[in-house]
Amino acid sequence: MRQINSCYGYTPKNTGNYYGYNYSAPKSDILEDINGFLIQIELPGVKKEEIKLSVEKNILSIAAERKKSAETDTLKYKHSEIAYGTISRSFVLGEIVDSEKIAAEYSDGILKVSIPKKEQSKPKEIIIN
Amino acid sequence: MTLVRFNPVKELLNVEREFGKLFRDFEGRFGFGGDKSLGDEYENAVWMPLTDVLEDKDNYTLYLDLPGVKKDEVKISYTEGRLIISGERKQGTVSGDKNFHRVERTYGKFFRSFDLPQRIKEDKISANFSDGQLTIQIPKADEAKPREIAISVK
Repeated sequence: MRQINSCYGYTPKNTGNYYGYNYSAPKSDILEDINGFLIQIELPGVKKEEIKLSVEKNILSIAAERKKSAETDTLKYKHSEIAYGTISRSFVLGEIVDSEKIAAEYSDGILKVSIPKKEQSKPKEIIIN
Repeated sequence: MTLVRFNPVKELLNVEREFGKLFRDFEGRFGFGGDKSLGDEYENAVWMPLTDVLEDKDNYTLYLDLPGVKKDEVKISYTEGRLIISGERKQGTVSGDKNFHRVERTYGKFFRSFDLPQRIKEDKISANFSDGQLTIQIPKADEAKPREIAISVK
């Protein structure tokens, strides 16, 4: 249910206590063109190594851990707006995409996941004889 | 074209801003000081980055979330005790055959300002940008740091 919620209907918040644990859905943009889909996910302050991207059946999941910036005995928070902890979001993939060819890159705090469509689901032009 | 995220609260904020302007103008007209204006960058901004502020005995440290913003698209300025972080997040070139299914991210101009205590070393403010997070370190002036005074017991 969580996957479905985070994909449709459920408005992602920056932070919140969701299903009993500190849950945070990152803001995402989803684009489509004739070749495939592109998902752009905001993951500021997260190291590349701390992002886990996986596909299981038809569900694409992003999980990351945002660690709190170093607070020590002397360095104290005066003001806090940023949410830390577990970040996760799932997307349901349709039949038309080729889940074998999913590629991802991460730069400037944005994870870009490109999901190509299967060759047979791309629009084809039919030549009229 | 930049898609601007629909934000119903923005209307309310605009009302507040207009009222604020009205009273500021009034104060100005009758010779009261009024508020220091934040300028056009504030008026035109559509979003503001989330910020954490930390303090220790030597520094103030600010962490700002700016995912998708390039290093050269951020402007940091300091005048008369006010630190201003502003810039613009561009949506990038989206070719005509691309359709949006979801746009949750906000694009456009952003603005954030912080009134700092006067006693800081303004020429020593340093900033670092990595993984979409801007870190600004502001060293305190020596006279603002806590001192230990040795008391000799006789």
